[in-house]
Amino acid sequence: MTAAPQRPAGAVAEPDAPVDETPIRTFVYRKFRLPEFSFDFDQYSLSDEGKKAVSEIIADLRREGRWFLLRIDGHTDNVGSAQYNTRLSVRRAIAMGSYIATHEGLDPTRIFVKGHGDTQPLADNQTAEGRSTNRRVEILVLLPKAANP
Amino acid sequence: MRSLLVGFWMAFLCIAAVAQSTPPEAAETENYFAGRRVLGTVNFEKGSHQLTEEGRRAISALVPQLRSLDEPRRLVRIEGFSTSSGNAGDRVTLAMIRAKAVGEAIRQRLPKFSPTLTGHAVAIGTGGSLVPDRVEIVLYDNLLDIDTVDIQEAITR
Repeated sequence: MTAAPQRPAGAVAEPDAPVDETPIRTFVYRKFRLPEFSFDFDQYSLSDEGKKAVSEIIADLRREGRWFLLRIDGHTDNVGSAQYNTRLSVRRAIAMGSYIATHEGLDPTRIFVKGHGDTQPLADNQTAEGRSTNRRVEILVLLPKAANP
Repeated sequence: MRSLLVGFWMAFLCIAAVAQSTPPEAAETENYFAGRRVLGTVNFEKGSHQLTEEGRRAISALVPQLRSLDEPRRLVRIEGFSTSSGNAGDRVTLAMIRAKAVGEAIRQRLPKFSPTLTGHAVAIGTGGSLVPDRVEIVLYDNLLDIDTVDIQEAITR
């Protein structure tokens, strides 16, 4: 497992430092939103199908030979409080991020995990099918802008 | 002739050693995150993801700085580290859970705070003087701004 870039011990950055005005350096190359990446109610364990699917995705990305970043977004249905759902969505994204780092060997430095709670539904939360669709993780593949084909 | 061959062989070994010491992928990663700035550090007890009182104080001290970070070009990632026993998967998960705990504590003070996170399994004895079981709150400029960009290809089924 590789470690994050190191810094001198005790060095704490000044957040008030001028913002670098160079353009945003990545773009979203692909976004994977697959049924294999869905979850049972109140659960955050990846399914076997989900593990297989993400392994295939990482293998494909490696075959392409590009250097990439991943953002992993977790989502929930609207059952429960906003705070609970935010935490659950983070756990779902962590399950995916941890799997990719440990089983696929991707440097965690290149993984950005984020939880969105129930704020980005794809389907109607009034139906069981819709809620199931909304309980998911999505994988966004980001490439450096210079590599934009 | 023999010394010439030995010379070529030594040169080849040197080039191979340099290539092995800096894999291109690792070098690109280092380069890409060169602007990484650590705003603060929260230490954890070995094997635990529970915030200590000292940790809560460290987070409280960071809140004013984080509140001022409203520029869309700035990205905060909370990065957990874990050396605890167990397999690498357990350590990465614990590191991410630590980062989650810090993120939640910040959100209690700043409800709009919406960080990303990651986690690292680290070997005991690495990292110099840094406490190995820790979380770093890290700032990046201009790295990614997903909410405002087009997606080149969405893959669904």
